[in-house]
Amino acid sequence: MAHDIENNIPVHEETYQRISEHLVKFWTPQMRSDFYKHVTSNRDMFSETMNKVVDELRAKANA
Amino acid sequence: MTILSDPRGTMPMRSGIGEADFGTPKSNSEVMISVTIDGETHLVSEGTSVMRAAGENGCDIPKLCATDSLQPFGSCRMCIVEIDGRKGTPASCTTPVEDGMVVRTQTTKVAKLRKSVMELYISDHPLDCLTCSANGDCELQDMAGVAGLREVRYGMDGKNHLDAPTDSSNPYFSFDESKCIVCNRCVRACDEVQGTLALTIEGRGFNSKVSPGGLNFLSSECVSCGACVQACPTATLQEKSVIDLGMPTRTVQTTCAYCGVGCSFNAELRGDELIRMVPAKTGGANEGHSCVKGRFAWGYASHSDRITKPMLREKITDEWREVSWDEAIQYTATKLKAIQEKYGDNSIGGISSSRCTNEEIFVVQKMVRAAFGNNNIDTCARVCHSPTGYGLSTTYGTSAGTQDFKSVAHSDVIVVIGANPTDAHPVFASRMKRRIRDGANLIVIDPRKIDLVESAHIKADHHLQLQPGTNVAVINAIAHVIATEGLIDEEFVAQRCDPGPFNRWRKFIELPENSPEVVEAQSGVPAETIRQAARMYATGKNSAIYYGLGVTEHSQGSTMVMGMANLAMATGNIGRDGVGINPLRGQNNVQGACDMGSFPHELSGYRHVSDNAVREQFEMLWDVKLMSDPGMRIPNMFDNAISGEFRGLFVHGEDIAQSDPNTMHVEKSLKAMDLVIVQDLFLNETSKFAHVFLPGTSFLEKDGTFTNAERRINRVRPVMAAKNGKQEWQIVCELSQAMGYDMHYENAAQIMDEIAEITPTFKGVSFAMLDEVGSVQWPCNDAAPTGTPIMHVDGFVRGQGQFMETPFVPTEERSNRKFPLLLTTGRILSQYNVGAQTRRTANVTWHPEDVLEIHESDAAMRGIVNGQKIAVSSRIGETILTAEVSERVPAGVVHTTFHHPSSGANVITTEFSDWATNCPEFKVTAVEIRPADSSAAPTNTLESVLTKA
Repeated sequence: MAHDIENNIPVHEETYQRISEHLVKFWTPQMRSDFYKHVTSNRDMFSETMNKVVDELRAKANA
Repeated sequence: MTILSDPRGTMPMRSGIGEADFGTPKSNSEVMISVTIDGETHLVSEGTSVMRAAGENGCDIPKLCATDSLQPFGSCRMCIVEIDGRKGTPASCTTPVEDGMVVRTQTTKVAKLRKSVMELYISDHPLDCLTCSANGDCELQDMAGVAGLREVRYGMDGKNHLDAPTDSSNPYFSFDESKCIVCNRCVRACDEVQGTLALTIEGRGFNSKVSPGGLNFLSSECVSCGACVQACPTATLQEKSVIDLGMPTRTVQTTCAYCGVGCSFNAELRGDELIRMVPAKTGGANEGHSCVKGRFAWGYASHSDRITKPMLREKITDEWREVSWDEAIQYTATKLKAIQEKYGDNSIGGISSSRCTNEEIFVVQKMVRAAFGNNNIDTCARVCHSPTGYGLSTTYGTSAGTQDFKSVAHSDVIVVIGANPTDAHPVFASRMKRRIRDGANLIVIDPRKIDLVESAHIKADHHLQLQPGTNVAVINAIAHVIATEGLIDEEFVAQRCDPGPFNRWRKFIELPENSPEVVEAQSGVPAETIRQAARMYATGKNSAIYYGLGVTEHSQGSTMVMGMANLAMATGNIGRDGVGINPLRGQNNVQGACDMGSFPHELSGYRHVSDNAVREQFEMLWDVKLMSDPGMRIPNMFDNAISGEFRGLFVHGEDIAQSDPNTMHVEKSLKAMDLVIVQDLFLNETSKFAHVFLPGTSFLEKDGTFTNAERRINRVRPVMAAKNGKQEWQIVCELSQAMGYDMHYENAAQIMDEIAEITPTFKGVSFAMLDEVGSVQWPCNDAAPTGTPIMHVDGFVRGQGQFMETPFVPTEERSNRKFPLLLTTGRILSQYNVGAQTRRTANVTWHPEDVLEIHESDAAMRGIVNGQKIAVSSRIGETILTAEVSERVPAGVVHTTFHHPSSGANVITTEFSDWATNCPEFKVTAVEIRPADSSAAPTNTLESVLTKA
C-alpha cells in the first residue's frame, strides 16, 4: 500500500509532505507503527523519500 | 343508456388523492402578462397555456389528453374555449396566453361541444364504472360528470373495442385495451418523460390503438418505469395492486431507498395497507418520474423473509434463538465490553449503512466514537465512492458533486464516465436523454457499449471504449490535448485556481507520455477519437462530467476523480448551470453516510478527527473524550480480525459477505471474530457468521432523512408501523446506553437538530424546515439559508482550486496467459446491489440470475454458447455463471453483476484497492472461463487457440 501511495504522488518538493500527511490522516496509529518497523528492517525496498518520511514520522511519534 | 358518472358533479384539478394537474407544463418565463378568464383578470407567466393559466387561477377547464408532465397535444377536444377576436373554439392546452387576451371557458357553445365529444368517447367505453378498478380515480369518469353527460345516443352494438384483450404480462400493471381512449398520454409519457419510446400508436382512424411495438409489455422495450400508468386517464394502464386491493384513500410523502437519485414518492394507502407508490411531482430530484424499482419493487418490506424479532446464538453453528429486545441489547453490550476488557478498546468497531437515514447513521458513528471509545467506524461508501470524497475534497475542498440534477438541461456536452445511468440511475438518465435528444453532444467513456452509446433517438458522438484499468491514462490524454492545443480557459484558471499546482500540472500533462498516441497503446482508444472528444469537451459552451463506480472502483480511483476535477477547472466548467463534476451515487444515502461522519478519519461535515477545535466541540456536546487518530477502515478490520486483534463488529444494514471483494477473505475474518452483530431486514450472507441479529426497519417504516447525489436532503416519513417495534436509532441508543454511554433522543427530529448544531453545512436544516420547503441541498446555513443547488459559484470551498498531478500507474491486476480476460462488474436496471430487496420482488422476472457477458469471439474460442453454464476463475477463486454472448463487451473483456448470492461474483474479485482510500478494484479482475461441465483446468487459452490457428 505504501508503494502505491508513493507511485501515485509525483516526485517534487511537496512529495515528502504529501506522503507524510496521507499516512497521518488516514492510517491508524497501529498501521503506522507496523509500517515504520517494516521500513526500518527493509530500507532497501523503499525509496529515499519513503525512508525519510518514516524516519521523521517515527521521530515525531517518539518525541 | 344511462351514464355512471362521478356523483361529485364538479371537476377536480386532481383525480383521486393524487397531486394537482394543471394540464400543461409550467412556464419558466419571468415576464408576466395579463389575461382575463371568465371575467377575472390575472397575471401569468408568458408562455403559459390558456388551460394552465385558468387552472392556476381556480378555473378548471376539462381535459383528457392533457397532463402537466407532458407537452400539449391538442387531440381530445375537451379543453376547447372561446377567445375574443378568434374564430372557432381553440384547444386551451395548445394555445399560449397573450397579453390582454379575453378567454371564456364555460359558454353554452363549448359546453355543447364538450358534451358531444364526451358522448363519442363513452360510446366505445365499457360502462362498468362501479366495478372498475379506477372508480373514483378516473379522469374519463370525472369529465363525463363535468360535461353533464347523462345519455349516449350512439348504441354500443356498433363497431367498438369493448372485447379488446387485456395484456397482463407485466408483473406490476395491466393494459386493458378495451378501456383505452387513445389519448396518446402513455405513448407521449414513454417518449417525453422516460425516453424509451417503447410505445406507439398502431393503425389509423378507428383502428388506432396503443401498442408496445407489436409485442406484449413484458417482451417489449418497456422498462416498467410506470410513466405510462401514471399518465393514463382511465383504467387502461392500471397497477395490479390497485386492481387487487382497491383504490387508496390517503397518502404519505416519502423518499425512495434504492439508488442515489433519491426520488420522492407519494405512498398511497388504504387504511394501513400500502397500495401503490406514485412519484411526486413536487419531488426535487425526480419531478414526478420513477423507475421500476422505486415505483413497483417495494413489496420486500412485507416479505415473509423479514426477521422482526431479535435473535442470539453462542456459536455460528448454533440455531438462532428468538429473544426479547432487552436480552439482545444486554447480551450484546456485555459481550462487547468483555472483548474490550480482554483485547483493548480498539478491538471492536462498526460499519454504517448507506441504506439507512442520516439520523440512524449519525447515531451509529456516535455510538462507535462515544460508547465504543474509538474511531473504528467505516461505511459501505468505502467500497463505492470513497475516492470521490478524497478526490473532490483535495481539488475543490468538499466531498460532493457540484450540481443539481436539473443542471443537465443546460449542458451542451455531456461526458459519462464509468457509469450506466439508464440501468443504475434511471430517473436521472431520463433527464439526461431528454437533453441529448434536444441537441447536447454525448461522450461515453466505458469498456462496455452501454445503452447510452446507442439507443432510441440517442447516439453518442464518441464512445471511448477503453480497456478496464486505463481510465487515468485516457483522462490524462484528454487533458494533454486541451493543454497542448491551447484550449485551457486561462482566465478561469488565473482567477480561480492556485497557480503553483496548476503550473506543475500543466508541465506534467504536456509530457509526451500523456499524449493520445502513447495512451492509444495502453487503453485501446484510437488517438484521434481521444483528440476529438477532448476538443468537444473543451469547446462546448457548458460541458459536464457524470461518473460512477467505473471511475472509483479502481486502484487509481482517487487519481481519476482528481483527473476529472482538473479537466473541469482547466476548461472553466465549474460553478454554473450545465457544467461540473457529478458523482452518480450508488445507494440512496451514500452522500448522507459520508456527510454524517461515517469514515474513520472524519467527524460529520468532513472534519478530521485530529482537528482539536472541532473535536472539542463534539466532546462538549457529547460529554465524552474522543480519539484524535483515525480508526480502522473496513479492510483493516478484516485484516486485524484474521490477525486476532479485532474481535467484535456491529454491521448496520450491509451485507459485507456478499458485497465486499474477495469473499473468502471476508468470511475468514468474520469467522475469526468473537462477536458479529448484524442489524438488517433479512438473514443475509453476513448473518451466517453473526452471533446477534437485530431486526431493522425498511424505508417504509423509517422516520428521518436521506441525502441524494445532488446533496438534496429529503424527508423519509413512516408509511407503516415498524415491524420490529422500534426505530433503528432507538436500538442503537439502547445499545449505547447498555455500553455505559447515555445516548437518548425523543425522536428522529432531535437527532437532526443535533446534526445541525454540530455540522456547519447542515446548520439550517430541521424536520420542520424540510416539511415546509420539501427538500434542501446542503450547504444550508446562514450563508445559504435556502440551500445550494450549485457549488463553487464564486470560489471553491477550499479557496483556490487545486490542480493535482495524476500519473498513470497501471494496476497490478493484469490479464496473462492463465487469466487472459478482464472481468468488470456492474448493475442492471431491475436489480439493486446485493439484491436483498429486489430479489424479494417480481423484479426477478427480468433478472432471475447473474450472467456473464462475453464477446462472441471469446466465447467461440472456448466453445461456449449462449446460455451455457461456465466456470469463471481468477487467482482468488472460482464461480459458476451463465454465459450471455454479447456485443456489449469488447473481445478480451467480460462483465457480470453481483445481485444474486448464488453467483458469488465477489468470490473471484481481488484484494487490490485504490491507493488512497482502499476502495476495492471491483472493475478489473483477470479471469479465465471454461464450460462448467469441464472439470479440467483451462487449457483452451487465447494463446493455445492462436497457436493452433
